[in-house]
Amino acid sequence: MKKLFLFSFIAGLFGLISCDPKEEQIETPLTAIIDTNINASYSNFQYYSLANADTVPFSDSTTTNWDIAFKGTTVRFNGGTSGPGVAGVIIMDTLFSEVTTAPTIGYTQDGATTAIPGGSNNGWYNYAGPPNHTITPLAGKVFVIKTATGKYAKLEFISYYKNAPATPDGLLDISKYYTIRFVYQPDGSTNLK
Amino acid sequence: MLRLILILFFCAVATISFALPADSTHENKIETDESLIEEIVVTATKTESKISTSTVPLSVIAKKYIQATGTVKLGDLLQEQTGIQLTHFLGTGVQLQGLSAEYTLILINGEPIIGKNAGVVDLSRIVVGNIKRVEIVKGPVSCLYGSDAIGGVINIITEDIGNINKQAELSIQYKSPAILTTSFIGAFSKKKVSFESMLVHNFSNGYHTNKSTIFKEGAPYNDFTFNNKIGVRVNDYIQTGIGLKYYYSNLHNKDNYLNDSNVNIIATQRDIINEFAFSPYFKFVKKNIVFNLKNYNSYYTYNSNINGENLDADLYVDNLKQLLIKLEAQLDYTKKGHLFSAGVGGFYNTIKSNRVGQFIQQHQEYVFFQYQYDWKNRIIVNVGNRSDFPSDYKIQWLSPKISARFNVNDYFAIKISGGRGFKAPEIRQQYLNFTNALVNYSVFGAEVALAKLEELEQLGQIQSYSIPKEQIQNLVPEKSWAANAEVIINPIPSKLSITANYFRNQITDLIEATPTAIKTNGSLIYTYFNLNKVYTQGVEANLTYTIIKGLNLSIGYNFVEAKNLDVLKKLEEGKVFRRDPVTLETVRVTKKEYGGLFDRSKHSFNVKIYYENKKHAFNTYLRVIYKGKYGWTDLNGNQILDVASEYAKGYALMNFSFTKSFKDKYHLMVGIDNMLNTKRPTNIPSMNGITGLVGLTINFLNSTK
Repeated sequence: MKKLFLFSFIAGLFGLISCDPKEEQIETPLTAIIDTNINASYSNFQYYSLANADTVPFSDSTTTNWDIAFKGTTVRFNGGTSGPGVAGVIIMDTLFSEVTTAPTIGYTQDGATTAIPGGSNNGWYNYAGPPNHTITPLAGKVFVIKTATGKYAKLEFISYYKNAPATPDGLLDISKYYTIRFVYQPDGSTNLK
Repeated sequence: MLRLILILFFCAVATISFALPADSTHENKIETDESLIEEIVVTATKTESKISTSTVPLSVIAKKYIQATGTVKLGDLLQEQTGIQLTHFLGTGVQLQGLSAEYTLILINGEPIIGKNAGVVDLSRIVVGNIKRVEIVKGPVSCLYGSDAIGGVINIITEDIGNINKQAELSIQYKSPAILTTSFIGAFSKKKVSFESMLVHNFSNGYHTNKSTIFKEGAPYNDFTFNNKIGVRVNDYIQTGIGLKYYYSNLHNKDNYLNDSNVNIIATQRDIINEFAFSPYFKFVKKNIVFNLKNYNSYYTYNSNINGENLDADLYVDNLKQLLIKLEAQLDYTKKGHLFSAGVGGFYNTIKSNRVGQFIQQHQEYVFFQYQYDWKNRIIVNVGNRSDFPSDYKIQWLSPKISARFNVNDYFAIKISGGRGFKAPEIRQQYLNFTNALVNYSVFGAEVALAKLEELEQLGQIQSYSIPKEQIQNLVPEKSWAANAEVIINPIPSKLSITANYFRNQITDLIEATPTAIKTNGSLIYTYFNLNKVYTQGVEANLTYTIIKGLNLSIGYNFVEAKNLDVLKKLEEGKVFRRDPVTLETVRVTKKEYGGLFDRSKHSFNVKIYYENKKHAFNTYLRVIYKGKYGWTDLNGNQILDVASEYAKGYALMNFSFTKSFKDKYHLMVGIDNMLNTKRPTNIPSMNGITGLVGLTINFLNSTK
């Protein structure tokens, strides 16, 4: 699976400054990770760890090793009825860059309905219907996540098609391949800058 | 654009310079000038009234212009008019004042046309053969006509026998690449009885615009229209009669389909429509009283199926049977500038369709009144209201309207009007029970959704609800408030006239299919809700100028802005976004970037030059129509029109026709439509570039009393 680590120019500069041994207490700048082609076309959910930015085998599905899981257009979090963790989500209508702090309360967990509801224009995607039936992630939906182990992250969906084509065609492109962008805060703080 | 203006300019110069010498030779000849006989219209007040007393935006397409264009179908005629935009989704529809086609009420002689597809009457079902004139009233007229008359009313008035004794006329027209029209009109009147008949047959073998497919963009079809009118003048006061109409059309096309195992098969689609209407009437006129009793019965069937080669079952079946029975009585009383009308009516409507499942019966009663006062033809005020009492959406609905006209002097007049319009929920919005197994989604009408969802829930097929099912309610009508203000300037009375109308319509409770639940197999279930608010506003301006006798110039311009108020609110809150498809970066959409509702040209205009030479018995008619760019489809998934690639390019059409008459008996028409060879294969596949027309009409018999 291809991984793209995106360091902004400014983040790079901060990184250089933080090399100074006297300044070690300075926050490590967070990295936005874009992960492409997470295959959600299996009969089981595809489990995924935000901390490791990698998929988790199905055998770990009853542990807190995973945070988020995908199957078709359905998304689950490791908490509530979906898993032993404490994961939940808050959906915000804003820009990814504008979410700088995670709220401490208000996270929805999977229950009778999934925390990210299904359906077109209802959760994370738009379904265009005929003629091409393309699924497009909704722009401006930022998912602030409390992970399975109680850490914070923010995430957005970028594509539902293999290799994230610029203008996907629901009939021609291969679907159920997620591209996501997320920032994971490993230190347990709510800072998501 | 520049090329278009140049062509237009040269054509204008050519027509004028060609016209001038010819006309000057018979300038002194005394003729009845048609423009001096004031035209009587019926749509705006549901009574016969003069155009100069109309208090609402009104335009009339007169017969001589209809004939001069050589058009066969109503849609082709309407698209040349200012402020009218055709839509091409599931048949040809008409937008008025920037409102979608389902908000335009189409009438023939004041009666509705049944058999709608997605709320729209397909205009290609209507031939112009025996049309006397088309009256177009813009703005809501629900105060007289009830549902659907939000954007306005287009009323097609067919020819009546008038002072014709005997008439028989045969016409044949061929329109390239593939349409042959044959029509026969016959009429006679003797003493108290008159009879009129029209038979029109259109035949097309279809045509390709894209040769690589077996699918024909111009589908092969053939249709018959058979209209008859019988009238009896019982005595000086009483007239009675019957209208009879039969329409049949058969459209078929072939295309490639992928079957379940992804094997390409050739399938044939066939759509067959039958429509029958029977309309007896009774009219009593004495002094200042007019009483009308009208019964209108119409039966419509639609059958569509797609059947694959070597397959036992049809790939797709869709059928509909509709029956409408309507009865209306109206009494008009006039005295010294006062007009009082009152009417009462009702209709019974039944529908049976495979998409609905159950047999639907509806009935609705209504009363309306209207009072108009005309003070010395200087100030005219009209107030009216209609109340509808429908059987199935359980709400009585009022549609009041007030309008006024001020004839300041011969050069200047003002019209102002304000009122409400409404549109009843459609059968599909209430009762649809449709599951598309190929694409995996279901749509349920609001009346049946709850029961269907609970049924599925018990079968364990519902995964989750995205809208709590308790929120599903019976639909209420979509309703509008509208205002129109028109100035009429006549710098040279009866020669040069300029009008400009400002309009604004605001519709609330727009009905929209919304995802309600998701099934365990992942497919979506949609239900209809009263959701949105939209507004449209703009200006329509027209100039008509009789340059010299017989030479008329008209210029029309229309500006429309149509926006969803809920989207505007979200834009103000900064809650609308889009993702750049290349960089995948998300940005916030600004209010300025919002292009409004799809499928509307912000700017459109037309220029028409008509020249008629009575001495040499010919006329020419040149029309240029320009429609500016319009929103085509959402490409970035944010549901709104906000980036350049989501627009379709504007286009211009130039149509020209020439008619020459010989001995008042033979009329030869030649025409070239779409002279600029405009093609829009993606957006309007049927627009097929330059088209030739040739037609011959022969009057066998024509004797006037």
